[in-house]
Amino acid sequence: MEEKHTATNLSNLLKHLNNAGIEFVLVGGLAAVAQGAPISTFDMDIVHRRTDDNIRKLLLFLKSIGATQRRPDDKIIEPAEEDLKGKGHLLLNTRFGPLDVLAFIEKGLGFDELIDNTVEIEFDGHKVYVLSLETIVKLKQDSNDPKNNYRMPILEETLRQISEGGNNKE
Amino acid sequence: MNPLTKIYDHEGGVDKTLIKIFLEMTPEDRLLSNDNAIRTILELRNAVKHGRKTHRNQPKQPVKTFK
Repeated sequence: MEEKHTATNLSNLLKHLNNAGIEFVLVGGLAAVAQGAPISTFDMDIVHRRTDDNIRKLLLFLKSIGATQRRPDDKIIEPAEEDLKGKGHLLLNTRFGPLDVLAFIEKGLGFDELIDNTVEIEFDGHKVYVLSLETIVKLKQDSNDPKNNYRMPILEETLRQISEGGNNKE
Repeated sequence: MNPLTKIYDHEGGVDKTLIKIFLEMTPEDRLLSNDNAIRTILELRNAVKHGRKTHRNQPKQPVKTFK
């Protein structure tokens, strides 16, 4: 019988992604959390580098954590290589919680365009590339996603406090 | 100034003090804090779900009145 994933441990998911040697940029809500925005998020969004080697590593990793597509009809579909090579969004359930693997985010920005707009954070002894809060805010300002309506003032205020020096640890 | 405004420093619905606290943490601690928050939210949701079920299965109690 297929295992039903119920636990969420996004920190562990991040740790295992790093240990698997996968190249990615952390984006979305968790990227904002890492930079000091006091919001809560239930999933992790990453933009992966779409090279053959990285896709192979990512696919192996996803299989090792029991990743299946998040679907309203509850059909069990495992991610495939073509999904990771494609230009779409792959929304997954994993043993550690929901993971969205994105080829691109707003304005068609992929790994190669985003990497120059990241900050490096240290997590569990690994460097993690996180989309800068400034870039997140810029991209979200033009977005129509209603989820942004309540988050935007928090992100903007966090950015303001960081620019004023605050006590930011990163 | 209203003392509550001073303490909570709300502006436009944003709790500035919460941001200050979060900025004082390391990125690693912020991520762990999110995990804890999510865990708590899920536990509360389960508790509410469980509570509702229990409540639904219980026979209605007559309302006690005090004379």
